[in-house]
Amino acid sequence: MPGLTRRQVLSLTGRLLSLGTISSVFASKIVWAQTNDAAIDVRHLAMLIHDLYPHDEMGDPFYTKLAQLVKPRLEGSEGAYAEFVAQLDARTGGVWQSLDPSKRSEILADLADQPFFAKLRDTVRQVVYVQPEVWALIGYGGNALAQGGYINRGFNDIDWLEETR
Amino acid sequence: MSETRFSLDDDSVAVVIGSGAGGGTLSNQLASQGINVVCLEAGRRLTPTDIVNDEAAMFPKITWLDEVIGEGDARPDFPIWVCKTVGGTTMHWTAAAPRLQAHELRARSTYGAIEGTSLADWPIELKELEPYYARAEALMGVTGTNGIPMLPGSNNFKVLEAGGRKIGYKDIDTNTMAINPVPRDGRGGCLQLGFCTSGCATQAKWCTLYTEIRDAEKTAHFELRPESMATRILHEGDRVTAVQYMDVEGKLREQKARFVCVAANAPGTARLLLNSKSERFPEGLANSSGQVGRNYMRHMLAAVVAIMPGEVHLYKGPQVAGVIRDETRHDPKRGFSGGFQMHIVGLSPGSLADLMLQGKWGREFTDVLGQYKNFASVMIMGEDMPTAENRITLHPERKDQYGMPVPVVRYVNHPNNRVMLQYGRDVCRRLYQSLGATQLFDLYDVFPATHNMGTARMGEDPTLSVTNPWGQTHDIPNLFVSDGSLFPTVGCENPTITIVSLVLRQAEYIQQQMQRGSI
Ligand SMILES: Cc1cc2nc3c(=O)[nH]c(=O)nc-3n(C[C@H](O)[C@H](O)[C@H](O)COP(=O)(O)OP(=O)(O)OC[C@H]3O[C@@H](n4cnc5c(N)ncnc54)[C@H](O)[C@@H]3O)c2cc1C
Ligand code: SF4
Repeated sequence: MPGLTRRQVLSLTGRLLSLGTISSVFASKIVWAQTNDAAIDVRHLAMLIHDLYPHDEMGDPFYTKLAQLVKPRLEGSEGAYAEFVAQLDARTGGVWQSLDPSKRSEILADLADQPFFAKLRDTVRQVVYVQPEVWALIGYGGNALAQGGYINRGFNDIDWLEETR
Repeated sequence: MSETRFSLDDDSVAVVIGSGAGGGTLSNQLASQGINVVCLEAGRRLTPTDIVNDEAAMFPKITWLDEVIGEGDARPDFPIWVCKTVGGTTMHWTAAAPRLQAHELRARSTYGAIEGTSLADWPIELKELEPYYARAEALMGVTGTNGIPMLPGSNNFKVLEAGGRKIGYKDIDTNTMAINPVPRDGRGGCLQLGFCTSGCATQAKWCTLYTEIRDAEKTAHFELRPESMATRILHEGDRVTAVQYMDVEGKLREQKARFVCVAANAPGTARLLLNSKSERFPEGLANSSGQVGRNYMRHMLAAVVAIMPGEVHLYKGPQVAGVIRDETRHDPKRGFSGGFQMHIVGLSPGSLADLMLQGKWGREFTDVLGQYKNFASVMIMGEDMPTAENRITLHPERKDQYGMPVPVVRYVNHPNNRVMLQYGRDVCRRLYQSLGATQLFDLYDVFPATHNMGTARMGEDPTLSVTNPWGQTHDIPNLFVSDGSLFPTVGCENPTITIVSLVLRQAEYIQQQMQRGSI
């Protein structure tokens, strides 16, 4: 299906995101175009990514890796990012980073209807769910050809249907 | 690859535009009868090793990403999902190959007049198509025909089947699929990879790149020109004479032609005809009826994802090999016209992350996707109504890299679709609930159109249709339409085997016409 990979391509070709996020992309360009100089702190971004897509089994190194992959996709939006982070801090007296995750999410939820939040949420999602580590966690087999196909690897091994009869 | 080359001013050749289901099949049919064919294909030619089990890598390699604008209910940025590669969208397709039903070819007579539609009967009956369906099934290697066994059922299928039987459905199997269960036709057997939409690495799935094009190239009568984008069809009086195209190097060329067959997938075909307007045909080539681009149909398409009480691993096995046909009948008691299929659909986590929980994040998101192994999923694919206003037009200003006007796809759901969707969604929910599904998700209005049809409909009356019952345009006898554009209505079956059948029939007709000297 198109979803994720399609959008990756779209952003590659500079046409950016889909549907609901189109207006937000334009809006972000207009508002933040001038304040484009702040660099994105990977540690901070990793934390945001964790809160957007919290998988308890995945450790910090994984979220750091994700942040490194997401960062280049936010190129051009550094200003917007900085502004977003500033708002998180403003709401927590500058200690957002040191709060515990559930508290952080609450603050994040307050900003969820901001255009940049949508961009961040979608950009990150397109990265998270194509990572082999996540696939392994949620039980997706990935490259089947490399394993000789699923023909001898459980494509029809379902064993619980009997119980539903 | 073959060595055969034809010169640009050889006006004895047939020019086929597009190398997908329609164009690839027609090219092979003509070439194997000794007719010289030049096939112009906008996309690149891939080699077998280019096909890998990686959605993200394959998508940009095969998908049509040139600008197309959607309006109405069509996704604005990505209204249609088609391929730009040798083999066309048969590279992407999931290979379900069911025949249309008799009453679906008589939609206007069966359903009556439905407000807001341009419903019509087909100019041919199922009886006339049957022999060609039979040939298409042999050609494409369709399971359950010609001694080819059915595919074994995957877990996702077994869930559909069990739930379906529980709620009273009977017509259920792994579907007639153009996928080899065992090696055939010099191609491998299906390894249950589940990456059908990324291109089939075993070649078990029928794709014209390594079937029809391969066979055409064994004759001395076929030249494929990849990365050649047809931009205009030229004519003198009421005969087409040549096709203008942009070649690999970005140079505009003109290939002379005895006759021309357009198989650029319905939106592409309408676009090319509209762009070939002239003094004689100010509204577009062969468009004296005004019907070119109109009556654009896709299918009513939605999916239901269920979280089941046990593991399913819905990604294993051919993505759509499993169907319930009980609802494909026409039964106005259900509150809508036409019917729908329910077929399994295997989707990757990446796709589901994007399609299933739009706008969600945090625990609400990960708690659901975390249960991916227990997902089962079914697609509802229903008959779509033709309307005059659902149509392909050319953007007045925007041009693509070939200097061609960007196509605009306008599509609005007919109210019939909404009633059918509700009904279909409810039965799918009941089906999974009967097996103890714990959560259910609806996916609708998220899919771009994978089936595109109707934009140059065939018929007897030249004022109401673009072509005659053989796909020959009413206005220009040596211009043919050879794809799903021809469909006056679409039934609820996947279109490709019908495209192939129509093209097999057209190839015979073309030969007769050539023998008679009329083209
Ligand atoms: C994900 C997916 C799943 C599908 N699954 C099924 C299924 O299970 N069953 C089914 O029946 N159908 C399925 N389909 C639909 C099927 O792929 C199409 O019906 C079929 O390929 C249409 O054949 P065609 O010849 O009209 O067009 P295509 O196969 O799309 O071929 C058209 C070709 O024309 C080329 N072209 C376009 N414009 C020009 C131009 N101006 N000059 C030169 N070349 C041009 C394109 O690059 C393309 O290669 C699916 C489609 C998708 C996207
Ligand atoms: S599941 Fe079968 S048809 Fe589909 S890609 Fe794999 S081998 Fe090919």
